[in-house]
Amino acid sequence: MTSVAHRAPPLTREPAWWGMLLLIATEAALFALLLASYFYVKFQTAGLWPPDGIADPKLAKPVVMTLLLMTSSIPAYLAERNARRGDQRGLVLALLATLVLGSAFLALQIWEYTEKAKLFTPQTNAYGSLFYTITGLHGAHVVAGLVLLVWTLAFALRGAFTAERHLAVQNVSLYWHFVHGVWLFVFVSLYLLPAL
Amino acid sequence: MTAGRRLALAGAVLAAPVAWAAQLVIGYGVEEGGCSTADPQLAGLDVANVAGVVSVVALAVAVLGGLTALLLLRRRDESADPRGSVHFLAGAAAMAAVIFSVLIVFGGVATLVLDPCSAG
Repeated sequence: MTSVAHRAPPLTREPAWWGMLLLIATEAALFALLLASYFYVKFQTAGLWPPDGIADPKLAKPVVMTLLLMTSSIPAYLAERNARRGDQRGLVLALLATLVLGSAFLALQIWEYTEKAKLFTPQTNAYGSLFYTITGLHGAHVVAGLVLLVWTLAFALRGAFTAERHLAVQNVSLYWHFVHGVWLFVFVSLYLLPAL
Repeated sequence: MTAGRRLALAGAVLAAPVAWAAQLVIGYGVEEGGCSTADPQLAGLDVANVAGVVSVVALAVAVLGGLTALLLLRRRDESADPRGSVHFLAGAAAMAAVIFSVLIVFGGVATLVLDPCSAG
């Protein structure tokens, strides 16, 4: 029988890492509630979805956006790995690659918005409100991630991170994976399911 | 750090938010299920009473989580927590317990004061 007083290893992560995890948990709850609201309105709406003659979302651009964001998680992971290994050049290159892919995602989202705005706005109906709120909130998270990446890159260029001290890189990488993960739910809910 | 202490920490961090989420989801489920008939009952119980019981249980769980967090804060073992992560998480859990308890109370009061089966 295992003793209750069995010694488990101490928590090896820094408080800041746990703080980022808690932040991600609260943000994930926010997205979960928004998506739950979206599906609630969808199932309460009689007839076609999207409503009021709004065309089914086109998938080409969102698929490219998804691929860009999925791909960006690879250099984000590599940035953390390179920081752990003390590879300064690899760290800078990986952060730059993540930044470029994330910026490309954001540029495509702005393009997508300019086209969507011709069809419906947040004021059109509940679908429009939820569509722009959810995608806009995700876009805001991407912007926050890009700001964090630029900040981390600036410090990386000054050689601020070592194999022993690179918590900021870990946290930014974790946040970026979350931004990518949330997008998959947004993409499936708002683009893929209505288009099927 | 003992396994029991680690379990208590996990419970303290998760208790309040999970209790609030349960109140929200079960509350919606109870009202959706119970209010669909002319006589708003669920398994022979009044819908408002069921929602009230759910809120009380959720509040109890959240408060228990908060008390566990306070206990962990008071009994700090620096040798077993050199980075201060346990202390930080216990502090966050205590704050979360307060916030989520307020949320649960507000949600519970709404179900008790307002008619849960009102169309408006």
